[in-house]
Amino acid sequence: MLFNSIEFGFFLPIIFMLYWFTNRDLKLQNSLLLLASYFFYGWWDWRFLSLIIASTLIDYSIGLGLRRFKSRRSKKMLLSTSIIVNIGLLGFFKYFNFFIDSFSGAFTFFGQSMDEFTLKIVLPVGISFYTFQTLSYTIDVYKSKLEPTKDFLSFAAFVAFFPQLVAGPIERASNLLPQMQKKRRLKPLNAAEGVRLILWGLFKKIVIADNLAPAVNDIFTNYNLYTSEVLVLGVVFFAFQIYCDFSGYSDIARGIAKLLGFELMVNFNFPYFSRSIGEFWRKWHISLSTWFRDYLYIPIGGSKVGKSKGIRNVFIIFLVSGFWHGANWTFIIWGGIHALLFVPSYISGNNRKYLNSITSNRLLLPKFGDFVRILCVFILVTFSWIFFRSESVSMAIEYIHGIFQFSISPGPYLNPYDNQLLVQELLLVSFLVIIEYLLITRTISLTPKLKSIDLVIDAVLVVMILLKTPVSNNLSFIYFQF
Amino acid sequence: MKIFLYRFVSTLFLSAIILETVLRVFQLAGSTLPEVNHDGNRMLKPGIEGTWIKGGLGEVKSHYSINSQGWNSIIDFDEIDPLKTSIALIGDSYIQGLHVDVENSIGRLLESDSSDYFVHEYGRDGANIADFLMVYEAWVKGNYEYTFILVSNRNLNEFQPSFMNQGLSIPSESILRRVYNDSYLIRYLNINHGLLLKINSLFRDGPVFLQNSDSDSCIDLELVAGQVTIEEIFMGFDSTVVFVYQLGTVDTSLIENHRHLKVNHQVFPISYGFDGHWNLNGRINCANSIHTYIQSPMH
Repeated sequence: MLFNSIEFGFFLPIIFMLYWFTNRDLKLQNSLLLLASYFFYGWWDWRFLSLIIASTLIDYSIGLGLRRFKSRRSKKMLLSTSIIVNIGLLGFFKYFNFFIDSFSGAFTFFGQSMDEFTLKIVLPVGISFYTFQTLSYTIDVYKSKLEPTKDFLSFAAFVAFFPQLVAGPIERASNLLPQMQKKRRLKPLNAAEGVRLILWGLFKKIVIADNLAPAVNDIFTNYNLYTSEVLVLGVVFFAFQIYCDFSGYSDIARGIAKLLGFELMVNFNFPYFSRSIGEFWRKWHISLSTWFRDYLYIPIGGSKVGKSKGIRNVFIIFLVSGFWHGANWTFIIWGGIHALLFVPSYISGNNRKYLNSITSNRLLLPKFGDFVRILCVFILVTFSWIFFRSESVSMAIEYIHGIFQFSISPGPYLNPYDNQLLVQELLLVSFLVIIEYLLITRTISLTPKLKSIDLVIDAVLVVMILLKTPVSNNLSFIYFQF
Repeated sequence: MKIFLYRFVSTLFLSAIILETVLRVFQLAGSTLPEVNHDGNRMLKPGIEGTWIKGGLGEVKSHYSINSQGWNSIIDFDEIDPLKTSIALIGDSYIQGLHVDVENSIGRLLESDSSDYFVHEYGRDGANIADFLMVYEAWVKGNYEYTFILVSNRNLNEFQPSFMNQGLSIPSESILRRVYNDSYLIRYLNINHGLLLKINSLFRDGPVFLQNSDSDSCIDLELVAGQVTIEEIFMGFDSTVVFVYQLGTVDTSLIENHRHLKVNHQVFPISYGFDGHWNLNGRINCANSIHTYIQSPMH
């Protein structure tokens, strides 16, 4: 079920009413939440519910086992089991065919064909998200950072919590699980903030991402027919499309969670206003980058193992992060590009620079130097998106080659989209940039204050969403495929 | 909870007022084309013309004109020029062509390919193979040198005519209908965005877990409506009729025993995903494919 679908329009109000109706009994409320979450996921394909349930049962039992067994060896075995099961599921469903395809070339060289081993595997929606979420639980329990829970219902509801089940934010058990175990209250301000976040998320998804999607799809599908400036436009539009698509989903997830009395972590913090790649990664998909930092980068030594090993660790974390996004070399190269961009600041020790906001000096506009840095980071990040969006490495290279042809003559046919649409899309992107900048400078705020003007703002958002919903909008969120 | 519900309802109410105002001022809501009972058939009202609107902010805006016979065409179908090659196109909304200006319909594009052609387009949205056969028998059979029928799986799954012989099923003007016609907001949600269709499909199809995953896009050849099978319907057409199709939208085994023609898409058939229909490029491709077929000595 998608947040922007008609069925969710029925699902959420019904669950919302039932949820608060059962507020006096926490167990009943959590049972409802769990059932609602399974229904939400099962709407897509009920068969894959078994994966979530299996993952829940295994990690819940391992959590309890980690408390019961005192020997280090037993604990290690239990943790290994959790890692093998979760990564095994992810590996099979997401990466099996990738490895078969990647190695088939080598086998063909020796006269063997591996085509027969390629399976028709359907990638379960959100598997990368919920396996990481449950893994964080067992690792935290293993490291004694978290007490294992005996409350199976709360644990199952934590794993399957529907607002963030299929595309994050990847919540830590230490944040979400305690919230599952205590009584929730619907506070008017929190609820109003939840509604505002949902509307803002839908605005980003429907009004901006969905309206940019056709142009992006068109340009990336027919990249060999377009001139340089159109190719540049295509990747710039994609940069905003993926940001609005994904951060929009995160905002909606946070908004729904607020309506249910939960607080989820902020997943995006205006990443396109970053002044360095390090700052970009502190602001983009925060729940994933902090997950990799805490459960991969630091355990392998982080930056405390000397420069050369530190550089190795940086590459590992970025390459794995790329691979997490999908079983394709394009994602690995995308991760590699970010590692290359990050390493210079790592070597010079500037990677922790720019921890403050661009407007901490309370100026309305950023300093000229900051403005140039923001522009440079945006260009570099946008360049890397070419690999992320392309279907193959060769396509990405041809796309880049097309950009550097510097051709401005029309292609074999006239540009298929008319200027009116192009102007509309540019206006939408500009509108987003201005609003986000005003949000950073705190000239405006997304947090409502329960005043009449807030009703008007919400109403205007509803109107804009309804007016700019494309006829056959691309309902699905990009990050569902990961 | 009370405060929240009060604010929520107020927001919805305010949004509705703003939206109704905006839609009225900028004329952004689509409207249903009026229908009449014409010789027992449910036809569009002859003589009307205007702008057909779909999508947000007038995403699709095109000029339509209903001729004397109730088809969307700038020419009447009352006479056939004996000095030219006569062509009949039969189909559903793709042939009706509300998504582009009526001046750029497939027929007019085909006529621009050769001054020797004159084309009549018998297209009606929602039409199916039963309608096609009845249209063919009523107006086309024996009158044209060439007959092309554009088909897709959607047309071949239904055997009950949707507009032929359905003239008596046109609903009378009820109060509810008047409210519907007067409300820009409701029309916008329903016509521009197909709200009712989406809700209907939700309750008709139900959750994915209740559907049989093996039944996707399969056509049951044994499906019988009024004891008529699809093969029997196909037998009603002469062997000269050419079934036109777009790759991927039809089960080609159904038409492989008949004359058939694949639309050769050379320019992008769909621009910006404006619903599933072709834009002008798709119509150009279709017209060019038919033109190439007629010019080819092979057929």
